[in-house]
Amino acid sequence: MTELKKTTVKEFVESARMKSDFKEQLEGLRKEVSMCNIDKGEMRRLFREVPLAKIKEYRKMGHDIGMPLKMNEIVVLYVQEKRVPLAEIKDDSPKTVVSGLDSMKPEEKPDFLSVIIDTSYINSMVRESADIKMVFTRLHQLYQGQTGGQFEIVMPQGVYDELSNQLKGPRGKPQVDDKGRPKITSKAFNDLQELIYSSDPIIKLEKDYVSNEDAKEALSKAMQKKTKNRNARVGDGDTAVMLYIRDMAKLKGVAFRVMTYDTDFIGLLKGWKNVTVPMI
Amino acid sequence: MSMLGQRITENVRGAINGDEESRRSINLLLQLPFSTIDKVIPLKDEETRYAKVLLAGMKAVENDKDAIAYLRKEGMADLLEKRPKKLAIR
Repeated sequence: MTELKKTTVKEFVESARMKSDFKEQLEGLRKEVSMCNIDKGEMRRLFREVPLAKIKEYRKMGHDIGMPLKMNEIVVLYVQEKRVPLAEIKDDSPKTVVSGLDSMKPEEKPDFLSVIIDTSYINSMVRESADIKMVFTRLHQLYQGQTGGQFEIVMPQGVYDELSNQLKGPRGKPQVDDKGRPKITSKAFNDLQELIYSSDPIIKLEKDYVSNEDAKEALSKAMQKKTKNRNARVGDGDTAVMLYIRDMAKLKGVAFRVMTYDTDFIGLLKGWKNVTVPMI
Repeated sequence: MSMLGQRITENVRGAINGDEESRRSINLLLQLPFSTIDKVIPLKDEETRYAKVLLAGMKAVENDKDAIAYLRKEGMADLLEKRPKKLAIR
């Protein structure tokens, strides 16, 4: 069987240049390319395919070229390099939010630490009038020393959204706790944004991890079962944190530290290997 | 990094020739700003250069300023100019 000769990129560009229809050709190609869309579930599945060694390699590369690469960018580059088959889609339904974590095997020597920020952690800092920027800068320095740089401080989008909703409040005023203290202030939120959106961010915002009703319900049931607390409340932040752990747990060598002060959530997290919580 | 650049060039070629897998890879790649694409593809040969021009062209359509600047730098800015209308023959 003879293989048809493939057009080279040079031939394609030069031919379009000769015919002065590069823009039309480009738009045609763009249209065809954009039809091959990849949804978020597929992106998450792809992310789980990336070996940790590759993540490190891409991170280093990003550092070398002066452009820190985010997780989705790493997936994009990994797909280019390895041509991971894109057609097969595994079950990624929200109902599987906690399944699999029970059987998670302990990592004897984790080589990467993922520090995940929950809503209650920020609320607690605001309550104690702590300087958020200073706390996270020190936390960053601490883990830098402990792990030799093999860590990241992340905030799932669901946590960010929950904090944003707390700030806006139901009547345009920040939500308050049972003692009437604001859960979040605009100063604290601004500080958080600076930590996320600076040129060298201390907190990485994981935009793909938002809460949804199915995942929330599944998490609520799991929490009630485990903590025996029928009134266990599940927030959008907790759900997003769980979805993030579920996906990241598929990677080898990753340990998690969930920065939360929510006792129900801690009760749920305590049983899982590789997941630690701060002492209360 | 050079391997990555080579693979991206192969994917661009595949996309031109109708390979579905390559098109999906390129679709993903186009989610990145051109400044990142530019830095992860080192210029190795002519084919890589044209692949970058093509990717810059696709990003330039989205008004990516770095992509437009790249096309100018490569002397390819004329590629995006509209075809002159043919004069009607009287």
